[in-house]
Amino acid sequence: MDVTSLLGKELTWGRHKFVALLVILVVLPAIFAYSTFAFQHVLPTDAPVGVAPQEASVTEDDLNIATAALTFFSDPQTYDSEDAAMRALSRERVYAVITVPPDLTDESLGTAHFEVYVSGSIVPYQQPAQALTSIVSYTLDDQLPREVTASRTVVGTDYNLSEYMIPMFLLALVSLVALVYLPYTFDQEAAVIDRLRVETSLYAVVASKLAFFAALLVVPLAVFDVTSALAGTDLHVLSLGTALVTLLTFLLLGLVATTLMLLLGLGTWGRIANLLVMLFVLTFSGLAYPVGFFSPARRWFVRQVPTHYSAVTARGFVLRDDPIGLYSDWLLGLAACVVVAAVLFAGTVELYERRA
Amino acid sequence: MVGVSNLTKTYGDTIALDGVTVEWGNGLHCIAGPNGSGKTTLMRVLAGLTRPDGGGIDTPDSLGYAFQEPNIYPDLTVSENLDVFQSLTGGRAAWRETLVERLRLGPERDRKATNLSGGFKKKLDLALALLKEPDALILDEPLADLDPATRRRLVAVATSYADDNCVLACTHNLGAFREDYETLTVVVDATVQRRQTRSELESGPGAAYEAVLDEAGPKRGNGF
Repeated sequence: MDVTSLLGKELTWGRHKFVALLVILVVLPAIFAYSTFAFQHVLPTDAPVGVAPQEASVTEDDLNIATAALTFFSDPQTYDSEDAAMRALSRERVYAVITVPPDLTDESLGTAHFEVYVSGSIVPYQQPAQALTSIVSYTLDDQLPREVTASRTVVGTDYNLSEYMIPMFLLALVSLVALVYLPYTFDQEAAVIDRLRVETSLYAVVASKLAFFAALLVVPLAVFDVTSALAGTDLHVLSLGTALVTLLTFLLLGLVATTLMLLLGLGTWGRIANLLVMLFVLTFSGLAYPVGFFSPARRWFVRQVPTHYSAVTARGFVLRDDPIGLYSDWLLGLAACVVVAAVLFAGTVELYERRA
Repeated sequence: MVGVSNLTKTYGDTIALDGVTVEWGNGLHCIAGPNGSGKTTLMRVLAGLTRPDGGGIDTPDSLGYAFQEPNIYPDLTVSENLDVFQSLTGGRAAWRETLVERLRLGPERDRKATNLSGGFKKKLDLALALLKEPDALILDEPLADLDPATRRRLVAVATSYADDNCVLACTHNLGAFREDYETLTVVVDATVQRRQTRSELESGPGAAYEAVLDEAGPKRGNGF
């Protein structure tokens, strides 16, 4: 029968494409399944929160008492000043800042008021922050001799989920262009790669591609900006900071993509490898959820991934309109990663030329 | 002048070039040899596409390469392909038009390269190689799978270009070049086995190749 013969052919084909099928049928489902288990709790009980003194008279004992009480439902980090804690809030090192009043153990004094600051840009933490405020009030009131109250203050614009998703979509788009479309166009060059190598160099070919697509990324930035404005939102998509982090992220991922393409011979394998890198970036950059929602091990891992810092800085520029200086160290880190990726690319070109 | 001296290249355990020394001046030079003998590796080394393990290479700065499998942008039209490489190599507009006219590419200008016939792809590939008016031109199996008329046209363009430049044609089809070539270099087992100059052509085009293959053993002839 024709169908039997053709099924036999499919089987033979499958044996030749075993690795591709393994990736599609085993690796990808495993990644998807693992991703769903990443969020341990609906309300995270170990998200990092900052603890800072409300005034200079707050003692270390006061801070320690508050910190000890907070340990039950968060991962408290102590800061010397409210400014330092608020800076950490902007940089998403903590998701709330709890300021501690002085003399917590002095019964003669009246009510001790704790202030819980949360960023309006970290939308997924809005509800946990409400719960946190109630817990702060309830738990500390129970444990301290003074009567305790707590109130929540939202810092910056109070965004909704749709607005929060804009920087995520922006970086997802950058990943798509760098890790799917750029490799696709590079793959198309395979038909003419030897002529290009005779007439110019692989460096020039890749540099022109990166420059072209980097310039094109202005278009989606503008589209995001215009659509956000039309929707009446207070976003800052077309800003120097957003453009900078978009450019650095694209260059980093684009260099990784072209390196993989050359390493794997400008073909299907390179494109599959880049697809896996994209899944990795989307899964392990904390694009959608703040890393504080993850397990400690995964939180640590995500903080080793350069594109995590792209996600945080993009949120900072788009949602909080933060100054570039707030993220200068991370932007320099991203630039350093671009340089390292360029060096690796150069090494791969050398390898490609030797093997040709 | 194009030449190599004591050129070596290996791929793993396979020796592709084993101390090859040869040079060519202006004119048309054919290079022949059995499949896998090292001809294409030699051409690619000359073009800088393959790095040799050792030996010296002497090539002019401007070198064109027409590939066995045409190296053209399949999604671009003939004109767009010419535009890209004219811009890249700085080719003259008048020379481009000459090439288009001599290779009869004009009617196909607006057709995507992927939709061209095999012959037109070869012609476009040759045009791209010649756009910058290189001092040396390498033709890797330029006549493979072409109809006789297209062959004649490509040979005519190559031989006329060889009047003032060095043209190296790596080919099995020696008959097509007939008395037009200056020398025949026969590559067998990664080495240059023999060279036949114009003065030796009396014994017929490709006689040196025939002789070398005869010496190589009784593998030729009707295999049935």
